[in-house]
Amino acid sequence: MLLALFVILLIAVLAAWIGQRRAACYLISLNLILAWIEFYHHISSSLTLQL
Amino acid sequence: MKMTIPVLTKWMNILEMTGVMLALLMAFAIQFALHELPCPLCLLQRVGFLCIAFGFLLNIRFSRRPSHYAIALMSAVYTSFVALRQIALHVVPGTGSYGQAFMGLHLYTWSYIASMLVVFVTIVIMGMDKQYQPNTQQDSRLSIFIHLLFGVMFLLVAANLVSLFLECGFSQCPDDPTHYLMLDSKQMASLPSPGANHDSLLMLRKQS
Repeated sequence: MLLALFVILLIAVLAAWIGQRRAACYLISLNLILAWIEFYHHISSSLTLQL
Repeated sequence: MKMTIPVLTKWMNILEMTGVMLALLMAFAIQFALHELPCPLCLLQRVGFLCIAFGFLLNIRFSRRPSHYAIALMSAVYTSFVALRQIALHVVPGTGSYGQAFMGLHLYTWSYIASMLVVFVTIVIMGMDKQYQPNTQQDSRLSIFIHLLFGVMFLLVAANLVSLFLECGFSQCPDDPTHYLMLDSKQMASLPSPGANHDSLLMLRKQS
């Protein structure tokens, strides 16, 4: 999942570089959603234990 | 150059983006100079910082828009959550820490402070209405500078990608990484296996 985050980010940078603003915004939004899911995945097991 | 609100906000964006990039470069320097491998939470913070820089980069490359600031803000909030989680893991006395301290604080604490700073500064900048006016001619010198920023950003993301692949490969990263998984597996593959040694010993015994 972490590798995918960096790959999507790389494509988003390239898209913005060549002037595709909308594509870059969609990609970075997708990246942020996946990053939140990865963070939740990381903490969910220990949260269950603590709560 | 007359310092109007659009010019001021443009330079504030450049300043914030450069600051975030410097922080990421420093993280890389610490990784290679002190041989401190980034943990999964550290890598998530790096993703957050790269997304913050990307939001400002969009503002610099295209015109300033609230949606670009929203990307930077959401990324900064994300980074602060991840950093806070890592602080919480080590906040109880006796639970240790991850990595060495820098100027008295650990990198995840600095990460939390930096992301909160980005939140406050971004809120102040995005509140300046006059920057959203339709714009304007592009300065040619700034255009070269923008390409330079894009080049540095691309290299940073690519370097992080390569570093992550070498550290973890396609598997899940360990919580406390101590070595580069892919580099070690290649070294192990180049060494003769214990089975091979055993076979060669048997051959020697037969010959003798």
